Amino acid sequence: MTEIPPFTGFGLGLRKDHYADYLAGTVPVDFVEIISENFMVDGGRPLFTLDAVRERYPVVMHGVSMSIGSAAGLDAGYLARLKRLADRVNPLWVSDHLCWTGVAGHNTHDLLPLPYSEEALETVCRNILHAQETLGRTLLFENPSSYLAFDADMTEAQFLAAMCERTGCALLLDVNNVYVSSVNHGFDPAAYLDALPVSRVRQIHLAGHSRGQDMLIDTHDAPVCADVWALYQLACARFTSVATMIERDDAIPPIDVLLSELDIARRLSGHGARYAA
Amino acid sequence: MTMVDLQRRFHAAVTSPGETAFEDWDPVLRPGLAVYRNAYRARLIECLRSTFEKTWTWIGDESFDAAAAHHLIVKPPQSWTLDDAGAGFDETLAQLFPNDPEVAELAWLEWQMQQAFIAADDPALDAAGFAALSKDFTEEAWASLRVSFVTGMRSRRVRTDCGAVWTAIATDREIPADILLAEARTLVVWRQGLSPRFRMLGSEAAGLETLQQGGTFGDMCETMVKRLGASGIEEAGRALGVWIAQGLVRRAEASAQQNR
Repeated sequence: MTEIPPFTGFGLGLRKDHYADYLAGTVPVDFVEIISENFMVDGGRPLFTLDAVRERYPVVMHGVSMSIGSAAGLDAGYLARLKRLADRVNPLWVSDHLCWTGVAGHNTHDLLPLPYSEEALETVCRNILHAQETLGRTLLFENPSSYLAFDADMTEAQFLAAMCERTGCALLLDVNNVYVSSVNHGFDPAAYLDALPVSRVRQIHLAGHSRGQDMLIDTHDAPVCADVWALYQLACARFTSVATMIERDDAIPPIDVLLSELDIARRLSGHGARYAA
Repeated sequence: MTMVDLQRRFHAAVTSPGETAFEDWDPVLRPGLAVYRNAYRARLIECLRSTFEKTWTWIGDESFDAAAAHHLIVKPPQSWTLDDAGAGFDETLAQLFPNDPEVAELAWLEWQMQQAFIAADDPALDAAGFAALSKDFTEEAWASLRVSFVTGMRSRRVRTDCGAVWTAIATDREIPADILLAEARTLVVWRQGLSPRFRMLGSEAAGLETLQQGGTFGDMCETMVKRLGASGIEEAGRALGVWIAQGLVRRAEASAQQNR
């Protein structure tokens, strides 16, 4: 089983708009994060680009389709393709989300919420152990944003902690998701951070969100807001062996704008700033 | 309720067609369900708009979004990759626009170009490689020559010059007034290097079909002679040369003995 290597630093997501910048090798980041599914293809320009980026930057793989909370178990074909990509990329680590995406062979392509019950915990842990064994590596799972909360036996943070305890998996803490869900469901985000196991949090996501009709929506289309920056500072005081990455998937600005935002993360983290500092 | 039942119910609430007020759900959960339901539809339509950008431009926002929403109902996404949501969209459009064949044909072209973009990296046989391979060919070796094409290559018969529509939209030029072809022709899509290409074939289309069905170059010549007379053999050779030059041919192999 490949363990997650010690790694701290500041990175960005690899998006088409910035391919030329990364291929030039001039983007001052410590790592780049790819959306795994975008590169789980047979060939062509996506893999050509990824191979070139891989020569210049450490890469982490972040997936959206593992559906680790699926009551029906995992898709063997998906896992095989993910493993093929991981073997090719040799990433620092592979992550996905604590969610499910569909049933009976149908896929919503959304990160759907789980009930935080003992039954769900057993399902998720069974699936994580299966995925980790298939991929031969310890995985990270990200806390999702959610827009509804089922009656539950435990809080989301307690669920995540138990999940790590039972499977040995690690966590990708999305600070924006904690904030969005805390507003939507009325919980204390600081207490949420306190309930997570310090040693298991290895990466942090930052992103922007938008205000929907009834609640906040995790849209990744705006800069990180002040409240999320404040929560990030709290998180960095507690979790010190982490890599930080800013996600932007819509209304993507020029790379310099994201790099300026990443500089804010470097400054606020209080962690040793790497690369471009 | 078990996890399996909950996930089935939730999935149905998010993806079922028509309007719903989630009457059989706890009122506390309904606003959230509405968010997931709206996001499902919006995400998939956005994906189809992105994959079929030129078809979207051709038929306009309203018609495209209605067709995309219909496609989600008749062919709900099944793959782990969002990109596959566009599979069969040309068939959906063919049913929705029976009197406008260019709509489905344009969508087919866009879909196949997307597939070619990510197809396996087959090394194509180049002109120098083929010259080396065939330099000692006897007449029998030429006749026995079998050709296989690169993995991402696809072809179909089209009734319209959908390629001209694609090009006009891509280059922001005026779309030709008459795009209906006098007779159906064969449109080929493949990837040359890293770039998807397409090309409308002429008389060589029948020869291509012969090779795709496992026929030899000799069979192809015969097909072409039937269509073009004595010049068919020369045309077959010219067509094969063009396909090799354009990166369509993966492998060529003669089974008959060659000169030593």
